[in-house]
Amino acid sequence: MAEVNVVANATPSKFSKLSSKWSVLRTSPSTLIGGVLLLVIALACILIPWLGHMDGTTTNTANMLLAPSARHPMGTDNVGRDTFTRVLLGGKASLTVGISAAAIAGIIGFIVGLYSAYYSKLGYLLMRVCDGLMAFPAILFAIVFIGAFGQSMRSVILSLSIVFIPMVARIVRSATLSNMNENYVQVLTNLGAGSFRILWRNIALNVIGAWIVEVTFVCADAILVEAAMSFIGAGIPQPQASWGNMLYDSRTYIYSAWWMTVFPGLALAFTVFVINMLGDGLREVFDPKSRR
Amino acid sequence: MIGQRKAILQVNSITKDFVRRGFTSRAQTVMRAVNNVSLQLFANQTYALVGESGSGKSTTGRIICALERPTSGTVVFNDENYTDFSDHLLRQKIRGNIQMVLQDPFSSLNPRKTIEHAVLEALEIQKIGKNHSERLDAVVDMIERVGLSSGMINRYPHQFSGGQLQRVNIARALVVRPKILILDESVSALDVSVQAQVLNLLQDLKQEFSLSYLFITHDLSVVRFIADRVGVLRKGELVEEGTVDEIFDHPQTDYTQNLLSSIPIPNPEHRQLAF
Repeated sequence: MAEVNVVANATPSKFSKLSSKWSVLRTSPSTLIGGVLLLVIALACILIPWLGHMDGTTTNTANMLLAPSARHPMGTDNVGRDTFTRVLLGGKASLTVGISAAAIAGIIGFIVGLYSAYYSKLGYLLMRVCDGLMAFPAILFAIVFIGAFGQSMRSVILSLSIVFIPMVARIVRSATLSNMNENYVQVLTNLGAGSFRILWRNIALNVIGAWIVEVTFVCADAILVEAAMSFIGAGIPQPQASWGNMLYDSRTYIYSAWWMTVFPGLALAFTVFVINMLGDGLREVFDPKSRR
Repeated sequence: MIGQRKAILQVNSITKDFVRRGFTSRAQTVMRAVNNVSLQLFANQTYALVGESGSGKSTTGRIICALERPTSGTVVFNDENYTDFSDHLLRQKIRGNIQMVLQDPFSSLNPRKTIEHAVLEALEIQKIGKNHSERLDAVVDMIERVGLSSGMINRYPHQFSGGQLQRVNIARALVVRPKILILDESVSALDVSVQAQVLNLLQDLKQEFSLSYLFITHDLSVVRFIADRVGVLRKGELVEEGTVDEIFDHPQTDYTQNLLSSIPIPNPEHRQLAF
């Protein structure tokens, strides 16, 4: 009898849990707008060049420095490549770097943060390593890394991942530490739970909100740093398009061909803005105070 | 009479020091939280440990739960001295037998887990029950025994009141069928009317599961209602011990007298002027 009761109750409550999350999303418009816009940007960068068979690398001296027109909506650059195509392809590169770096740094940072909070001696050691890494400016470290391992997209992603691990680890560690003081951890220990259950099946649930928010900001940061690296020639190798190296190319033509500077710059600023908006929205969603 | 029976739990002159190291490791201050405390807990008995805050009540409870190791002294459960047990041995022999319920019902539960999940987890950790559905039955059964309806089982902690949550905490502690339940200020955070309900529930469960309680509290008005024996702690020392009637009717020390006089008397005509 009791069992029947439980089963009957399970479905509506699961549903109401989902719908409550959804209503929170609705009350936080920046999450919704940021998420949708990011999706639009990502889809545009991936689908438009693919569907249109666009070529962003072949030079054509007949089309040099053309102003925006119907044929070239964002004009052409100094070697006759379509800027619109290159902005989209650059966006693909930027998003790939940003999302990959955020994912790698996010996963490793999560593990490091969780365990460094649980084992205080190990944590002390790991946090000093993180301090050391944080003392380096991200871009300096990345340049040294590129210098040692060669210039490629993979090196850019790897170096940025390493640079951003400490940021994620710090956030996860502090959230974990405050959870460790909660009574429920004590109760679990008293029940005989091991570190795996306490960390991964309990504390992780409470840390994941702060983690998602931080990962979003890391993604935006990584895109900016990648652009800076490409701008000084240590990022995505030419002739592959990247917003950073497009800005670098445009520098000498800034007075004669404004479109070469404005469009990649706007794309970069807009994308970072959208990701930050998503992050801010997620912060609202996961804030326990706004939930109640 | 009680002396003839065998104690289920023996605490033999435990002492606990907390050492705080200064910036240079030479300078250290030692805080003696528990000093040479001995007590015995018998089957089906409630032992109330009372004292002001900072008197070492909770530390004693934590040592009995093996969450803290005593600096000296031994703790014995069913003739087994588990003071120096490894984590593995503790898990095997002690954890399931000695459970506790803490003061704050809210933070004792993971806010992101349904109460079904929380109680189920206790069974999973203790590896009780053959399969999921058997465990689920035990969870539903226990939730109903503590006076909650099984329909609430999929709710999250923030959807409950403090009194209901404390029932959940009691259910989670009892679902692994412990012999001893340590109640560390378990009803202190609740409203007086809810307190009475939970205390009644605890009295019922004690009979049903033949439990022994170690009831840690600063609130003596509750003690008379629930306890069989009382120990009075002061600054980590057990200053007085005896049956409820002995302690309440013939307190031997000034400290106990002071504690007793702090109990509010409901009828103003029975109040004595303090000066």
